Amino acid sequence: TMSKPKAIPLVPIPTSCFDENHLPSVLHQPDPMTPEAERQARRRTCRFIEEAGGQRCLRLPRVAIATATVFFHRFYAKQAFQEHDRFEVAMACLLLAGKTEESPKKLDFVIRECWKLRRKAQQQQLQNKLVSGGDSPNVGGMSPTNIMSSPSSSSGGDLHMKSDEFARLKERVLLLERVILHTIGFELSIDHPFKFLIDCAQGLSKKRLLEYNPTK
Amino acid sequence: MPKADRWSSDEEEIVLLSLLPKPISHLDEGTYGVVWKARDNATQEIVAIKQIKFDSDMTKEGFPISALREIGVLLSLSHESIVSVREMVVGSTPDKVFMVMDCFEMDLQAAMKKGPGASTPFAQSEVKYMMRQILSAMAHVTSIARKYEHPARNMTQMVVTLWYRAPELLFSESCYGPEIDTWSIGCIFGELLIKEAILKGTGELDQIQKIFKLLGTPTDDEYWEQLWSKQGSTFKWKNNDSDLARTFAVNSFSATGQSYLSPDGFDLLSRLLSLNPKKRITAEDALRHSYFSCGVTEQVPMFYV
Repeated sequence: TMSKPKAIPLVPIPTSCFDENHLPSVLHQPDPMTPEAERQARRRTCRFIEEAGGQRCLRLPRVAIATATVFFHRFYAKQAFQEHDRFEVAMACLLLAGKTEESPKKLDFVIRECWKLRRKAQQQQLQNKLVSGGDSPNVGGMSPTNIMSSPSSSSGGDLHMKSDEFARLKERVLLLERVILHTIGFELSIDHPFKFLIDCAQGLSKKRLLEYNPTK
Repeated sequence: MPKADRWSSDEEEIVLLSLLPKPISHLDEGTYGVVWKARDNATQEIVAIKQIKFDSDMTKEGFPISALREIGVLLSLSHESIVSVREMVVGSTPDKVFMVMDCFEMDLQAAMKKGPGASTPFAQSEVKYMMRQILSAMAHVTSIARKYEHPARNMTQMVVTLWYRAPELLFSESCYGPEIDTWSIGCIFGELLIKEAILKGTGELDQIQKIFKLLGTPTDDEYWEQLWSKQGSTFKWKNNDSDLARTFAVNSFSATGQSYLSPDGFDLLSRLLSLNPKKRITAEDALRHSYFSCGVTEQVPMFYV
């Protein structure tokens, strides 16, 4: 028998800040995005942050990845995708979240790992294109340069620390870190809903209403 | 989030008036550069602004983590006894980032040395007032910190200014809790009584010796035995008995240059300065101590007005 779940007070989210018809990228001139394209850009970047922060790349703790994602969403509530490259913003969010969640990663490491991951994704995409006959739709209405501004050195799976591309990325990420801080109003302590869920789950499992199965 | 708009201010909104006098302290100023007194043109209020210092860190790893820590904490705290960060201001060049804070004429150190009545000890009622403020601010911080607790957070780097550093930190205990802060408050309590820092070590080793000299060497203390055997330490510390009762006289009058200290006050002091962190009183319990409920009532210190 399930016991009645306790009511958790809901904090109203100000709708103005995520109204999809009034997002900076959607209102951007002369190159507006459709709300659907905006959503897609967010989805894809979130997946990128998730993977880049994960065990196979930066090995950030779960909460730091979540915080980076929140920084990213808040950033593009005020800024346009057309103005700031989403991958570079993602990198800067990961760098910043690493610091605010007390698990900092070296800037060089963040850039290298993100670059590798992005490159792999691009090659995958290219391959898919070749297989499917090359007529994939222009993703999210973004300018092609934004999606495929491919790193200059085309061979090899690593970014050389002394390359121009590396220096450029480093400069961009450092600048973006400050732009992000300014845009999110230095609001660095992020409360995540997971804490609620974990508490709930622990309560339920104590009452044996929920079973923890780590293999699934 | 709607409050985000407030943050973006033009540089013209804040007018720098003068450099605030540097604190006369020996404390590490580490994280920050200069502090300015300034006027906020939007509200005509006088504020203090603290410039965040970017040294080579900025070009290597970006925004310094120490500054992020303080900004994050101060922005999320709200307590009458904790200085509030009103906003963050970004200047024309990237290295100009300021914290806008409430402006105070002096810090506690300056008040002790230069404020009105600086030549005489604080009245007991004034000490009590200040101790309650400090303890209630700390209790607030601790309750918040508990909410955000990360169980395995080891920060072995220097965490507290040497003179106020708890003994367990000096023995590089990496797993510590809010007890290190109540130790510091104990040091401040002592300092308020004699208007002089009570444990002025010249280095980490000297600091330990000064602590053991004042409070006695913890010879048959479970906690210290465990810590020392865990660290495989074979070093023998000179056996001392506690000097605390001789240093802080109970019920004596101010001719000695010390504030009046009731027996309750002495008890609280020794509980705050407990060598064993497990037995050290918490800020919350300290507020319930008879020192605050009995004896003279609190009084706003002279230098406040």
